Amino acid sequence: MEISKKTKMRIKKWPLSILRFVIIFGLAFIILEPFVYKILMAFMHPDDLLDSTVWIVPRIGSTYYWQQALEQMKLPQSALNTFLLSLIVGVLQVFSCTMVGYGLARFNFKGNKLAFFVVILIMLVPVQVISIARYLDFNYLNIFGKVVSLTDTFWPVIILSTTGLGIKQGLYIYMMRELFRSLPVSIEEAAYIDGAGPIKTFTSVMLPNARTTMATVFVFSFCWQWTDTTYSSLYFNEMPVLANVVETMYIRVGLNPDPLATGILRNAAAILIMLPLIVLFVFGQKLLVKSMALSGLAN
Amino acid sequence: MALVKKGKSNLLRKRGYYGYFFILPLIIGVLFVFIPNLYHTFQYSVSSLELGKTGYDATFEGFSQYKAAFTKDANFVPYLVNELKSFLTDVPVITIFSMFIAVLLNGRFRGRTIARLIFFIPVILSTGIISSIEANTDLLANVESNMASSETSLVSGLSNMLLQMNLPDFIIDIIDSAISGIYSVVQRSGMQIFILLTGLQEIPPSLYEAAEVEGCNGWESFWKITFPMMGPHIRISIVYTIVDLTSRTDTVLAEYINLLAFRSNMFSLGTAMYVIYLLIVLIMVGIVLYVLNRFIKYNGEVG
Repeated sequence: MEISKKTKMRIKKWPLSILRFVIIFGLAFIILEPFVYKILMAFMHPDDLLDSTVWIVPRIGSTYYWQQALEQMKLPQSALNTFLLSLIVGVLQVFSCTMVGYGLARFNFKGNKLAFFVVILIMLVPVQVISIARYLDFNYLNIFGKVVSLTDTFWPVIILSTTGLGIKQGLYIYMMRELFRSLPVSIEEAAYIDGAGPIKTFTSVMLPNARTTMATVFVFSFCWQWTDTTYSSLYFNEMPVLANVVETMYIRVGLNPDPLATGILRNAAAILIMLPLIVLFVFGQKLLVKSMALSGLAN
Repeated sequence: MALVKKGKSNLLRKRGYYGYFFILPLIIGVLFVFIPNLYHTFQYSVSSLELGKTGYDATFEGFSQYKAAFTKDANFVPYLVNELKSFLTDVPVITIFSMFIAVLLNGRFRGRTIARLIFFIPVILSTGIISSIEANTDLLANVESNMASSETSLVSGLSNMLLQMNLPDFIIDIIDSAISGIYSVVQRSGMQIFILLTGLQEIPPSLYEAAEVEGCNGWESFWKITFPMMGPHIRISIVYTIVDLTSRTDTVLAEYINLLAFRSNMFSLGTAMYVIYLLIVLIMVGIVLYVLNRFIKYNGEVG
C-alpha cells in the first residue's frame, strides 16, 4: 500500500499534536475552572449550602442569587454609566495613543528620546504610589483660583485618557510606537512627495495601516475600564459604576451580612458584569483577524 | 528587508517640529497632571497633612519618615526584599511561559480560535473586579486549601527529585515556584501571550518557506528566525510583566503600606515607603532595559 508524503508527515506530527492538545486543554481547564465553579455555586439553593453531600453541582438549585445580584446592581444607572465611561475611555485612549505613538516613532524633534523615556516612566510608576495624590489633585482642582471637585464626574477619567495617563496607557503608546516604527518609511515618503502634509499623511496613509493595533487598544481599554476598581473606587464615590457596586452588595442574616451568601452573590454579580465583555471579546477577536488580513500584515 | 531607517530621511527631519503637535496630549498630561501628582506624592512624604473643605495644608517636616522606614519599622525591609526576590523568579517564568504558549497557539490546529479566546480571558478579567472579588467564603476557602495541599505534595515530591539531581538551588527555586504558582502564572500571562502572538503573526511566512528550502528544521528556524524577529515584542512583554507585578495591590508589601497609611494614621510614613519602592522599581527596570537593549536589535539593524 502506498502512503502519500502528506500522510507520512501527518503521522510524524501525531505525537506533537497530542502533546499540544494535552497542554492547551490542561491550561484552558485551569483558566476556566474558577468561572465554572462560580457559576455553579450561584445556582445553588440556600439549602444546598447546608447539605454537606452537595459538591459543586447544586441539588435543589435556584436562581435566588442571580435575582438578588440583578436587584442590587443599581441597574440601569450603573450599567449606563459604565458603558458610557468605557466607550469614552476606549475612543479617547485610541486617539491619544495613536497620535503620541506616531509622533514618537516618526519625527526627529528635540526631546524625542526624553518623551519616550517619560512614557516608560508613566508606565512604571505603580498606580498605588500616586493614587492618593491623584485623588486629592482632582478633588481640589484649582482652575484660575477657583477650587473645583471633579470626583463623581467623568472628568478625571476623561482627562487621564486624553493625555495618555489612563489605565496601562503607557503600554498602548509603546505598542503604537513599535507598530509605526515597523512600517516602511517609503509609504510615507510617497505621500510627502505627492504633497500631503504630515497630518494628511497620518490620517490617510498611516492610520489604515494601524487598524489592527487600534482595534486591539480599543478592546483592551474598554474592557479594563469596564472591570476597573482601582480608579473607579478612587473617583466615583456616589456615582454607581458596575465594578464598584459589587462591593456594596450584601445578603443579610438579621442585621449582619452572611459571608458565604454574600460571597456567592458577589461572584454571581461579577459573572453578570463580565458577560458583555465576553461577547465583545468574541466579536473583537474576529475583528482582529479580519483587520490583520486587510492591512496585509499577516502576509 | 530594511524596514526601519530610524527617521534618518531628510524629508522626515524637516518636518520634525510636527512631532510636538503629535505628542501634544502627552506633553499636556505630563506637565499638568503627572508631574504635579509625583510632586505631591513626594510632598506628602516629607510633611504632615491636614485636609480641609477647599484643599489641604502641608507643613514641611523633613526626611524623618524615610529614615523611620528603614530603621524604626521592623516589617518594611523584609517585605520589600521578599517582593524583589519574587520578581526575580516571576519575571523569567512568566516570559518563558508566555513565549511557549504563544508559539503553541500560533500553530495551525483545530479549535485554535477557541483556544486563543480562552487564553485571552485572563487579559480582560484578571485586572480589577475579579481580583477584588475573590471572596473568602468558607466553602471557597475549603476547596482552595484542599487544592493547595494536593499541590504541595506534588511540588515537594518534585523538588526532592530535583535536589537529588544536584541542580543549583536557584533553578530548583524557579521550577518550584513555577509549578506551585501555575494558576497565578496563567492568570498573569494573558497580555504577554497576546503581545507575543501578534509579534509571531507579523513574521512573514515567506521567511520560514525560504528557510525550509535551505534545509532548516523547525528548531533551527525558531532560533534563527522567530527569536530574533520577536526581540521588540519580548522586550515589551518583559517590561509589561514588571509593570504588572509592581502595580499589584494585593501583595504583602502593598497591603502593609496601605494599612499604615490609612488605618494607622501614618500617612507620611506610608507615602515615604511608596516613594522608596518607586525608586527601587525604576532602578530595577533601568537595569533590565539596559541589558535587553544590548541584546535586542530592531529589524533591519545588524544584530
